[in-house]
Amino acid sequence: MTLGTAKIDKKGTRFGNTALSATQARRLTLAGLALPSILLMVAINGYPILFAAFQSMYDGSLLNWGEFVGFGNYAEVFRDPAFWRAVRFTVIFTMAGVLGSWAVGFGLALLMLKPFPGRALFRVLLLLPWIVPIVVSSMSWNWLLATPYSLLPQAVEAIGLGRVMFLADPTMAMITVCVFKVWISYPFMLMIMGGALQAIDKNVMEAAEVDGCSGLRRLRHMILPMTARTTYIAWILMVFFSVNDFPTIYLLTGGGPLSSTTTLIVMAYRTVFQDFLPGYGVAISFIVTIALVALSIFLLRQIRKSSLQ
Amino acid sequence: MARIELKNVSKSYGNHEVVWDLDLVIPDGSLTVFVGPSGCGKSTLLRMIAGLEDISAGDVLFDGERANDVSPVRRGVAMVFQNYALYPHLTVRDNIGFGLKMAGAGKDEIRERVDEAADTLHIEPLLDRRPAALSGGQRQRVAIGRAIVRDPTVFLFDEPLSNLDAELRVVMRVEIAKLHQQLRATMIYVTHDQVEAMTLADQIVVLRAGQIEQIGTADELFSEPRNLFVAGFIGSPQMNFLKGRHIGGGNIELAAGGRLHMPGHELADGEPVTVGIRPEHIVTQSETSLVSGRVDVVENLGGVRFAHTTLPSDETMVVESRADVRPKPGDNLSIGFSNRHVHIFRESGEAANRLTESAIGDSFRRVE
Amino acid sequence: MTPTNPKKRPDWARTILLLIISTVLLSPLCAVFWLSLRPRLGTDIAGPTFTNFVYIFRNTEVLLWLSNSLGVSLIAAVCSLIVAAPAGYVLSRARGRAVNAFSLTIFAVQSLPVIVFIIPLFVMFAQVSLVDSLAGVAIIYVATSISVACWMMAAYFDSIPKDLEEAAWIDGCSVFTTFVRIVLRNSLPGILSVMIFSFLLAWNDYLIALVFLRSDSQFTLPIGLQTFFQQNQTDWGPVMACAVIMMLPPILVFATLNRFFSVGGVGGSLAGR
Repeated sequence: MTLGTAKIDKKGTRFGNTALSATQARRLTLAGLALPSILLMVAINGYPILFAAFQSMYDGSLLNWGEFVGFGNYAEVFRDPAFWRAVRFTVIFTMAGVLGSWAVGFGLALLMLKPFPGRALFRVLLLLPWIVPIVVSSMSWNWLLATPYSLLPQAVEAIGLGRVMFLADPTMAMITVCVFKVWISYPFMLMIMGGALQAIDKNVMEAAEVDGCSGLRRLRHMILPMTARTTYIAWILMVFFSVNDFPTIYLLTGGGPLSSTTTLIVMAYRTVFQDFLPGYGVAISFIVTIALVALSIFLLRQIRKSSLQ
Repeated sequence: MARIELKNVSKSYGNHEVVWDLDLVIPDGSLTVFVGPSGCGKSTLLRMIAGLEDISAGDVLFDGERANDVSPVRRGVAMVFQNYALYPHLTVRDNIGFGLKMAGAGKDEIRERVDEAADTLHIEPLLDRRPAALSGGQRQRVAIGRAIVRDPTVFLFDEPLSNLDAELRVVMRVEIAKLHQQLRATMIYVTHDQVEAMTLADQIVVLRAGQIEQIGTADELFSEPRNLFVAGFIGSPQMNFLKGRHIGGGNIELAAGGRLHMPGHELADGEPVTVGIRPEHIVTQSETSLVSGRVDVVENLGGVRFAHTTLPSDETMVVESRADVRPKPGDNLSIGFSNRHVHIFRESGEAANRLTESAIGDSFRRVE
Repeated sequence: MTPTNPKKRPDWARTILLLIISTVLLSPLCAVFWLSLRPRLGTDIAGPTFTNFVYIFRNTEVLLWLSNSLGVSLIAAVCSLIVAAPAGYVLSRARGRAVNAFSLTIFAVQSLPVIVFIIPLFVMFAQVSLVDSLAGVAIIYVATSISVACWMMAAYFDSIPKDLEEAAWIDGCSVFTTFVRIVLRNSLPGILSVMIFSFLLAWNDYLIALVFLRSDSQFTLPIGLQTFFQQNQTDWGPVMACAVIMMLPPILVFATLNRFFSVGGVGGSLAGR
C-alpha cells in the first residue's frame, strides 16, 4: 500500500469528486462541536428568559398564568416601598461587599508580598472562606453569633459593651450580613490582587526603593496605579457577585428581621416561592438584570477608555 | 511525484494581502526553496500548497489537477514543521506510524515501514521514546521520518532547521540534500536563510511582500540578480551598493569618485544608477584602484578578512581580502574591481538590461 | 546591607502577624471542626470523639444526601466537560462573525442572575417532571457552569501548538479526530480543571437545590444539612459533623491542587457567590 503515488489511479484522476471541500468539512465539524453548548444555552437560558419576559406581564401563580397585565407588574414594583427598601439594602450590601472585601483582600496580599516562613500555607488557608460551601460557613456564623447565648454576644457582653443582638436587631443584622459578605469574598480579592501584585516588575519596585519611595508613598504612587486596572475589573466582578448573591443573605437572616436585609434577589425569590406571585417576582429580577446590563456596559466603556489612554 | 503549479494565487486576511497574484511552477522531482525575509508570504505559500490554508483567489494544481478544495492527506503531501510538531503523547514509533494508522494500514505493514524509515534516518534506538526525551536534532529526524514513511508525492519543509544550533544545522542540511537525491521526490523548502537556500535548491524562489522577486538556480541568482532586493538578499556578506550617475556613452560616474566604463546597458544619459559589487570581487592592488576607502573595522574569519571601509562619499563598503593582504583600521585601501562583476541597477531597483553580451569588456579601470 | 538582601533572616514577625489574622478570620471554620469532635450531650466521654459522625451516619439520612450530592456533582462535572470541551475548541480555533456571536452569547449567559431563569425553568421542568429530580438539577448545574467551563477549555487549548493539529491533518485526521486524538488527548490538566470547577459549583450550590429539590430522598447535602440544622439547632455536634463532611471535598481539592489552578481558573470558579 502506498499512500501518495498509488492514488493517481483507477478513474485517472488524483482527487476524484467530493461532495464537500476541505474547508466546508472543517466549518461543518466546528459548527457540530459548538452545537451541544448552543442547544443547552437555548434550552436552559434563552428559552426561559423569553418565557420569563412573558410571565412578568401576567399576574398568575406558579402553574397558572392568570390575567395579562402588560407592564402592570413593573409599575406596581416601582410603587412598592418594599422594593425601594430592597434597592437601598442592595446598594449598601454591594458597596460593603466590594470595598470591604477589596480592602481586606488587598491588605492581605500586600502583607504576603514579601517571602516569610509559611507563606505558601497561609496562601491556601486564607482562601478557605471562599472555598467552603456557603451552607457550612453560614452555619458556623450562626453558631458564633445567632442567639444571645452564642460565643460572640457573650464575649461582647463580658467586655462591658452591653447586649448586642447581631441578627435580631435590624441595623445590627445589616452590618452583620455585610461583614459576613466581606468574610466570604475577601479571598477572591486576595487571589486577584495577589496576582496583580506579583505581576509588577520587581526591578521597578527596587528602583522606587532606591529613589527613596517607600512605605505609604510607594503604595500611593507606585502600587495603586500599577494595579488600578485589575482593581477595577475585580470591583466590577464583585458588583455582579454581590447583586446576584442569594445564599449569603438567605442562609444567615432569610432577609429579616423586618425585611431589613432583603436585597432585590432575595425579594424576587420570596415573591415567587413564598408569596407565589411569579409575575411580580420575575419583574423584579428583570429590573435587576437590566440594571446590571446597563451598569456593565457603562463600566466596560470606562475600562476601554482608560486602557486607550 | 508531482508537478505543482500555482496560477494567479492570492491570499488575503481581511484587507491584508499576504500573497498577491502569484504564478509558479514547481517541476516534478525538484527541490524548490522559497526564501525571503519574514513576512514575505513564503510560509503562507507553502501552507496553501499543503492545504492548511485556504486560497483566496487562483488555483493550485497537482499534476494539472485543481487541488484547492482537497484536504492535505488526499493531496498526498507530507510536512516537516519548524517546531517539529511531534505528538507528545505518542512514542517515536507511533508518531512515525500515525499517518499510516490513520490511512488504515495493518499493524505489520506499519511496523515494517516505520523500521525502514528509522533505518534511513538512523533513529532505531529512539523508537520507544517519547518526543520529550529527545534532543532537537533527534526530534528533527523523527519529524522527517514521519514525512518519508508515508511515501508522499510532495515533501514540504517549513523552516525545519531554524530551531537547531549552527553545527547541527549544517549536518541536517546535508542530510536533507542526500534524502532528496535518494528519494527524487518533489520537495519544497521554506527558509529565511539564503545560505540554506543556495546550498540545497535546484530552484530558488525569492519572495518579498507576497510577490516573487526572482526565480532561478543559485548561480543565476548570484550572478544575475534581477533587482536590488535579490542582489542584496543573496550572498554573504551583502553586495556593496554605490551611488552613481550615467553620464552617457556607457560611462558611469561614482559619487565616491572614479568612473566606470560599462557599455551595453540600456541607460539614459544623466540617469542615476546604483552600482553593485560583491565584497569577494573587489581587488585591492593599487594598479587596479578605482576609489580609495579608509578602513574602520576588520573582521577576521581566519582564512578571510572583511574590511569595513568608508569611501570619500561617506558610503560604506565591505572588502574581502585573502590571507596575503592584511588591512588594519586606519589604512587607506585602493579599491578596484573587474567590470564583469559589476551590477548596474536603475533608480526603480531593477537591474539595467544589457544590450549585447559581447559589449562587456574585461578591462580594469584606473583612477582618473 | 541593602534592604533587599536575599540572605537576610526569615521574617518571623510577619509569620506571627499572619498567624493572628488567620486565627481570627478562620475561627468560625475552626469552630465547625471543634464542635464536630465534641462529645454528644448526655454522654460522659471527655476529649475529642467521632461519636457525632457515627451518630449522623446511623440515625440520619446524611449518607443518602452525600451520595446524592456526589452523584449529581460527578454527573454535572462529566456533562459539563462533554459540552464545554468541543465548544472551547471552537472558541479557541475558529474565527469569524459567527464565532464572535457565539462567544458573546457565552459571556452574556454568565452575567445573568441565576434567579431570572430559575423561575421559568421551574415551570418548564414541572411539565416534564424534572422538578424534585436530581437529573433536573444536574442539567441546570451544567448550564450554570458552561460559560466558565468553555473559557477554561478555550484558554487551555490556546496553549496547545496549532502545528500539532496541522501535522495531524496532514497525517490524515479529520477535524473531529484531530480534536479527540490530538488536542483532547494532550489537555488533561485543562480537562481536570474544568471537571473540578463544575464539580465544586454543583457541590456547593444552595439556591438551585433549594428551589428544585422538594423531598427528603432527593436532597443534596447542602439542603439536607440546612434542614437538619433547622431541626437540631441546639444539638450542634451532629450538625457540625455533617458540615465537616460537606466541606472536606473542596478543601482537599484546593489543598492538593492549589498550585495547579491558575488564578483565572480559581477566580472564575465559584463565581456568583
